[in-house]
Amino acid sequence: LLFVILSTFCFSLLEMEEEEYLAALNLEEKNLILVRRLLYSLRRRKIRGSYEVAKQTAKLLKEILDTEEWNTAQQAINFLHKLGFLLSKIQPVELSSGNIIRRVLFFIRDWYLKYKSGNFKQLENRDDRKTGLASGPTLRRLLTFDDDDFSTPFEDLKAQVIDDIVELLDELDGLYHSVSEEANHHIHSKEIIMTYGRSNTVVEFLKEAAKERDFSVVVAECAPSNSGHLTASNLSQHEIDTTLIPDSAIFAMMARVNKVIVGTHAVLADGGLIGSSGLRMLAQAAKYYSVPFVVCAGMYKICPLYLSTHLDNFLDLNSPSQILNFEEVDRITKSNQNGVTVQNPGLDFVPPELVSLFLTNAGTFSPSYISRVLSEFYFQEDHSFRTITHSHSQHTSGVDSIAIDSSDDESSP
Amino acid sequence: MSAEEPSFVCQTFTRIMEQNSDTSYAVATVGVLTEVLKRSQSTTMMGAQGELREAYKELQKLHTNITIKSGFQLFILFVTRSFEENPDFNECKRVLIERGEKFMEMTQKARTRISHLGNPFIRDNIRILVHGHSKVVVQLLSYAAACHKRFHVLVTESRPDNAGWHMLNTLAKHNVPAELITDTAVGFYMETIDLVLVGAEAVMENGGIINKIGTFQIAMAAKEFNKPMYVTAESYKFVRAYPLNQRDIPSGAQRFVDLNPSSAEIPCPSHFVNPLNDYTPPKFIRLLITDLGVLTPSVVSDELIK
Repeated sequence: LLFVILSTFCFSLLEMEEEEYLAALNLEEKNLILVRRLLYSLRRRKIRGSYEVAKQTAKLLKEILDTEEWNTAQQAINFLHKLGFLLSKIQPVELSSGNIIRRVLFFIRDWYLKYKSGNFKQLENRDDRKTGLASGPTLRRLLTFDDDDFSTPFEDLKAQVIDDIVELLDELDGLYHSVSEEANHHIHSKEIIMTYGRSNTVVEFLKEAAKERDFSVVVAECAPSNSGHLTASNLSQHEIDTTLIPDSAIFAMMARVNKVIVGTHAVLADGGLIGSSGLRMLAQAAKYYSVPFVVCAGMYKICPLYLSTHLDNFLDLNSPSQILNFEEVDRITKSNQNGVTVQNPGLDFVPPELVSLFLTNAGTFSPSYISRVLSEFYFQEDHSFRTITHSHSQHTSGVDSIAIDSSDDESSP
Repeated sequence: MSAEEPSFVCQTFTRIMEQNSDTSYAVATVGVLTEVLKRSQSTTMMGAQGELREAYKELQKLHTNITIKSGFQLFILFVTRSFEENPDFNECKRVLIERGEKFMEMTQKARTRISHLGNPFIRDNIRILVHGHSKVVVQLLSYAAACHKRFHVLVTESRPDNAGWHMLNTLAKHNVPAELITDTAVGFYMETIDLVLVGAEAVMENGGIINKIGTFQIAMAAKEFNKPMYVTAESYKFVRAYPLNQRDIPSGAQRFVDLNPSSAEIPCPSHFVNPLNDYTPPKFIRLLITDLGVLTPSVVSDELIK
C-alpha cells in the first residue's frame, strides 16, 4: 500500500509520453509498481553505477517474467523491447540495464531456436551456447532467409528462461570473484600498478592479487568527486602499499608505472570505453610511455553501441558545486554580471586504440575481439530496442520517435 | 558440357543486369549460377559443383570484376553448407534453386538495411566528404535527408572518370545539399570535415577495401586529422583475399584506363597511367556499415568464416 501511495505521489516524475508507454506494457498492478520503482530510482539517480543497475534490472525481469502470463517467445520479446526502450529513455547514462535486457532477450531467442530445431542434445548441455546457432544475420545465412517471428509456443521455454535469469543473477553475485580469478597472472612482484578513481571490480582484483604477490599501487584521486581517496584507504587497510596522487601528477608518475588497471562505466561495441571523467588523460599518458592499459569489467558492461550514434548516453553532468561552490559563484556574479559557467562532466570516452586488454568474468581478450563477444552474447535484432512490433520500413520524420502501436496490446504480457 | 553452355551463361548474365539496372554483379552472378543449377543434369554434388565452376570461368572471361568472384564464393559456400544439412541431392538442389531466386531481392534489401544502420551516424549539422560514385552511399544519404537531418556533403571530382560529377547530380536529385571539390583539395578541406563516407568495390579479408582511386589518399588525410572514415558495403562484397600493398590488389579488382588520347590538353597520352582502383588498409577505416551490422574491420574475417 505504501508503494501505491508513493507511486501516485511521484506521478509527475514521468512525462506524458513515458506514462503512455508504461501503460502500453500492460502489466499486472504489482509488477507495474515494481517497474515504476525502478524507473523512479533511475531517474532520480537513487541507484547509480552499472553493477547496482544491472542487479536491480535482472531482479525486476525475473519477477516480471515469472509472474506475468506469456505463452510465446514473441510476446516476451515485444514486451522486453518496450521495457528496454523505456529504461534507456528514462536514464540514458545507465547502459547496463539495457544490456541485461538484451541478455534476457538472448536467452529467450536462444532457447526458442533450440526448441524449434528440435536439437535435444543441445538442450541437455546448457553450456553449449557458443557452438550453437549464430545470432543475427551472417554471410552464411544470407541465403537462408530465416524469417522466424518467434510465435510458436513451447511448454518449457518460460521455465528455462527463468532458470537462465537466476543463473545470470548468480553470475552477477559472483562477479568480483570471477574477474579476480586470474589476478595472479596479471600482476607480478614488485610491480607498480596505477589505478583511477573508485572501481569495486579493480579493488577486489587487487586484493586478490595481494594475497600472493607483493606490489604497490598508485591511486589517482579522480577529482572533483575524489573517489580515489576511498580506494586508497580501502587498499591500505588490506596492507597494500598505496600512494595517492592528484590527477595532475598522472603523467609525471607514469614513467615509473608498470601497468594501469582501471574499471569503467561501460564498454562500447568497438572496444572503446565510457569511464570516469579524466580516464582519457590517463590512457593517453599510458600510451605515451607504452604502459599496458588494462580494463577490469563485468560482461554486463559491454554494450552493442557506438559512441557517435549514442552521444546522449555519454552526457552525465554532475553538480557544479563540486568544483565551485555556490557562495563563490555569488561573489563572482556580484563583480561580473555575466557570471561564470561551470560544467562538471562525470564521464569520459577512451578510444579502443588506447586500451590493451579487457579482463572480464567471461575471459580475457583484446578490444578487437569485442565484436565477436557481442555476437555470442546478444542477438543482432536486439541491439536497438524497437518501439513497434513490425520491422522498420518507414520514411517518416523523426525516425527515433516513439510510435505506440495499440494493436499489439493483445500480445503483450 | 555442350557447346551452348558458354553463351547461355553470358546471355543470362546480360539479361539479369539489363532487367534491373541497380543489381550488383555479385547478385547477378548468384542469379546466373542458380539458372545453371536449374538446367543441370547432374545427379551428384560433385558434378553440380563442377558445372558451377565452369560457369564461373565463363563469367570471368566476360567481365573481370572482383564482385563476380565474391558472388561465386558466397554461392559455393552456401552449396557446400546446404549439402551438409540436406544429404539428399534432389532436396538440396531444390532448396538451393529456391533460395538462389530469392537472393535477387538481396541488393535492395541489403542497401535498405545499410541505410537504416548508417542513419544514426549522420547527425545534424555535420559535413561529410564522399568519394567516387557509390549507389549505397547515395541511398544512405538520401534516407538521412528524408529523415529531415541537416547536413552538408563535399563531393570529390574523382578523376580520371569524373564520377564525382555524376554523384553530384544524383545527390541533387535526392535533395541532398552538395558541393564539388577537386581531388587535390581534400587536404585543404579535411579540417572542416566531420566524417568521410565511401562505398567499396570489394571488402578484403582483413577489413581493408578496394575502392575508386583516391580513396587511400583521403583515408590517410582523414587519419591524420582524426576524422572517422566509414565504409558502406553490402556483405556479398566480402572477398577472401589478403592484399598487403597496392600491387597485391586481386586481378579482378584492378583496371587501368586510357584517357581519350586525342584530347589536346594531355601532353603525352602514352605516358599517362591511370589505375582505377586502390587498396585502403584496415587501419584507416573506423567502421564498416554492412547489412550484417556495423562492423569493425577486424571482424570481417570472422564473418567470412561463419
